[in-house]
Amino acid sequence: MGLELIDVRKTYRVRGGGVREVLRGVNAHIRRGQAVGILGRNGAGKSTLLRILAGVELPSSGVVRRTMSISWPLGFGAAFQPALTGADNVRFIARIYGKPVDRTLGLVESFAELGEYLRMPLASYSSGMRSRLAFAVSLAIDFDCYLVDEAIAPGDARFNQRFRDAFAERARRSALILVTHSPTTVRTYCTSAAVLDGGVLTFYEDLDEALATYNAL
Amino acid sequence: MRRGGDGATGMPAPNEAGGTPAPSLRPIVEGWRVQRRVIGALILRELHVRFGRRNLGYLWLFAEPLLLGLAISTVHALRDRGLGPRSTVSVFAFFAIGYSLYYMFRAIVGRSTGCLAGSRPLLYHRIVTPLDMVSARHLLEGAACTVVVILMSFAVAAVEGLVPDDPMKMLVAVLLMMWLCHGLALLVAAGAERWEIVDRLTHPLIYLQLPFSGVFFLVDWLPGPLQELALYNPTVHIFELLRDGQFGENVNTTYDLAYVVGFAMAFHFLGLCAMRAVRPHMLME
Repeated sequence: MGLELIDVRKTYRVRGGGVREVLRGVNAHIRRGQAVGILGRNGAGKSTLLRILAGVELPSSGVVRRTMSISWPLGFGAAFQPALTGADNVRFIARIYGKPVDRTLGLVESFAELGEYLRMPLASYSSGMRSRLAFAVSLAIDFDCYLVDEAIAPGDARFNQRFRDAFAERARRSALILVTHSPTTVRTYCTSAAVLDGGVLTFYEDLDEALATYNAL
Repeated sequence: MRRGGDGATGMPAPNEAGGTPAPSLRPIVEGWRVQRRVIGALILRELHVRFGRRNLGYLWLFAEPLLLGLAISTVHALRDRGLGPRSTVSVFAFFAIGYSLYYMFRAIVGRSTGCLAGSRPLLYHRIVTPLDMVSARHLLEGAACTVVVILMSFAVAAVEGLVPDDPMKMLVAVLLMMWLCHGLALLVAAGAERWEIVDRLTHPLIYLQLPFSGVFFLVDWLPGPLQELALYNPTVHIFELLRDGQFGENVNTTYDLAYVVGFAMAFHFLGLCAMRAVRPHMLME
């Protein structure tokens, strides 16, 4: 049960006919029970990597092997339909992932603490509320592996604590892959870390070593 | 250096083995189950987005084509009282049911241009494919138009006392239209996602092909050389079949179902290829 990347490359064509190589042969193997922080500067290709892990973007070459269920990239409000209410978005997501609708909605209601906002269109949500909803739904769906893009601020301190607790509870059976440029976040959530630089991902057993390498970039 | 999937050639990006989000990798039964579940959810979502959650909102799905069809056929009925060679059929009945079927073409092909762009947030969920998004819409529009054709048939029976000669033929015409539109709309949806020009041209083209679609005439009414020309258009065959089912012996109809099926299959196949090819070009922010 895991998520494996073998020599994954991603190139984009840029205007004017050039080619930009964002990932140049990334190898990784992530199993349940791991909480990996992926550190990288702005524009290092972190979000691209996360989208490839999630399977919502295809690599230009290389292999991605998924043998556990993987969440969509969390942190983006973009996975929701703005015109629909929070509750309708939750119902839709429960349906596509084949989960009981009412139970999922109940779990989200108690976890996200959005109150009556849950019955309002998503367009009226603040970005913090959106990410609370996203985390709550994904926890209710119960994935094996959570992909988190921290570029978009998660909830307030109280909600972050709840997410941490909820995650700690399932730490042994779930994996967490968190992409960030903040060393503090990695220390808070992760047990190991990797640095994405120059299109190559380097794993470190030791958090301090990873953070030292990252700070030296 | 390899230059990834050239959209112009319509081929998928080089390496699909990697993160293919397709349920096709699972056993087929499981894939089918997932796809049915996803399309079902998409249909409900589409209804909510388009008509809100007020209870009567859904009725617009039928009310719009019904109103339009009734208005257009009334106008024609008032204008063309005696249709010369056409006087063997009721003008109102001819247009009311014909236009209801034509509405399916407009609803499925005409609305397909914005479909993928409007559903972009859904791409964050790996199990939702562009094909699912488009198919859900087509099923919804197709089912709605089928209901409208049936309602219109009852209306015609009530107003003109004209009962369909062979409802099965009409139903086959409706299903063929749905299939043909599905394939064509897959192509248009993929094309519009890739090139803006497709989006811009689709609407005028749909408007321009209306007179040639077969909704306004029977091939039998056309002068000789035009008859052959009209029969190159697959939708003309579909309307001929519809009229055969509707009026039976009262009209002379010409159609070749194999010709329509050939077109539908070709569109469907090319459309599926286009859906696959366009996926790598659908970037997320």
